[in-house]
Amino acid sequence: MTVRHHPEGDLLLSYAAGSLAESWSLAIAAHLTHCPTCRGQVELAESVGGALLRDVAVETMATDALDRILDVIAATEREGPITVAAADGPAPVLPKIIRDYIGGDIEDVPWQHLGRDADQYLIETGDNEAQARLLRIRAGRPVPSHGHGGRELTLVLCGRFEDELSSFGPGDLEDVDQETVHKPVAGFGEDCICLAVTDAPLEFKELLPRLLQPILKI
Amino acid sequence: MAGNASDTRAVCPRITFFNLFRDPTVGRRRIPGMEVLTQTVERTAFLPFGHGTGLDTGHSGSGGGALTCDTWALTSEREKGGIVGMILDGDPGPLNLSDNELLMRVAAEQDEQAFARLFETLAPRVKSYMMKLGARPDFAEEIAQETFVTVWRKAAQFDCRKSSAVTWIFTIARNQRIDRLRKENRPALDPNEPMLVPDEPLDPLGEMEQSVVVKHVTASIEDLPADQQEVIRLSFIDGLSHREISDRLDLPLGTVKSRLRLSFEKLRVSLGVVR
Repeated sequence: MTVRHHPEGDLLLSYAAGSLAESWSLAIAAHLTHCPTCRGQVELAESVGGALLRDVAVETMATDALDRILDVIAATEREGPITVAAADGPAPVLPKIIRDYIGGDIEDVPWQHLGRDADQYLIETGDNEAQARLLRIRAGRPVPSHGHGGRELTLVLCGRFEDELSSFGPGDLEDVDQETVHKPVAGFGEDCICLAVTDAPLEFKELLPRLLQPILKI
Repeated sequence: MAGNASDTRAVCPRITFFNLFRDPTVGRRRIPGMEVLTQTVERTAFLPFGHGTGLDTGHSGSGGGALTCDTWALTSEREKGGIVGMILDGDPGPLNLSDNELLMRVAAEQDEQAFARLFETLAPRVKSYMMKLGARPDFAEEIAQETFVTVWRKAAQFDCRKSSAVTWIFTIARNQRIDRLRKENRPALDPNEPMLVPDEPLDPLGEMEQSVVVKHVTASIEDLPADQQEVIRLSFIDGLSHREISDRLDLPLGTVKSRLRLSFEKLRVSLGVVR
């Protein structure tokens, strides 16, 4: 399935630099799993790092540095070329990068209810710039209409959702900001599971979700 | 005879130079095909073929004869204290190869000589880059060393069609730093991820041109407007996130975002000619 919605260049550039904050990086790395096009873009952005590394003035290495390295590598097993190993057992639902945070796949997520139509799981990261969460929206059901105090990235992991702007399937990443008010609705047929990253609380337009917000930390 | 480098190459096809001898007590190292020095060398310099330094080819076995194979002294450098060259059997040696070729030798043949050459060129730059990113010298040194251990370990994963050696080594150093800092884990895509949607077939033109991409990038960065160069440097050299850049420059996040986006857009356009 071809990915149609991609992250913007600022995220790819900052990810390539190694300076994108953890939660955003999680969404980008998971998107890259699905998207060879953006992997190519990141490789291009990494060549900025290569060029800067080439240009930097040299520092003197320790006199025994090469000796020490040669000693270490003499005892180091080399890795083979990149191989995409066929997974044992049933194919996982979540990309490895997210499974590593959860310590398991989708069935292991300790969901927290967000009303009747959705669940969330807050992903713990070391970053204080943004919050990452998994969202599960029941098939055919909406997330309450909301605006954004900041930026929100939503990456579809399985299922689909649509909002006023477009329709999103696995690997698609929606990038919205303060300007956007939207009401995502999960596709029929299967629950939609997303990774959502936000750097400010959502602004719900209806009273009930607003009241629940402090409790649910959304 | 002080012919130019290419003459020398023609006359002595199997000569190659080493500057491994930073350690004044050397005499221990085991590079395949070569027995190493036991004499003290105070200073080294690296003179690749093509620099036009004359070779004194009449000095076979000079310099104290501490090498078990013939030693050649570079007349122009000898007084300064110790350039040493040596004859290797068969192989002309890696010293006039590009970084990419060196890395491919490391990958294909576990060539320690090529590895040492890469180390000499790029490890001091990795260390310097890390110091610019705020690392203390000993930490920067550690990351640079660890980076080269990883270069050796993962060399088979280098794909010259997708990246140049210097860029690939940049990504390893970047990931080393991120792993070591640990205060924030910055997720990176695992290239062995089984769920990875495969790449499209590579454009065969792209294969040849990776080695020149880096030069074009340098030129393209210099062509950017100052405010866009600034955010690129803050991202790559200072390691600042969007929010940190916004605090540093006292700009709204949206402005940081659009400057980064525009700069990348322009780089993509100007690199379109080589990609």
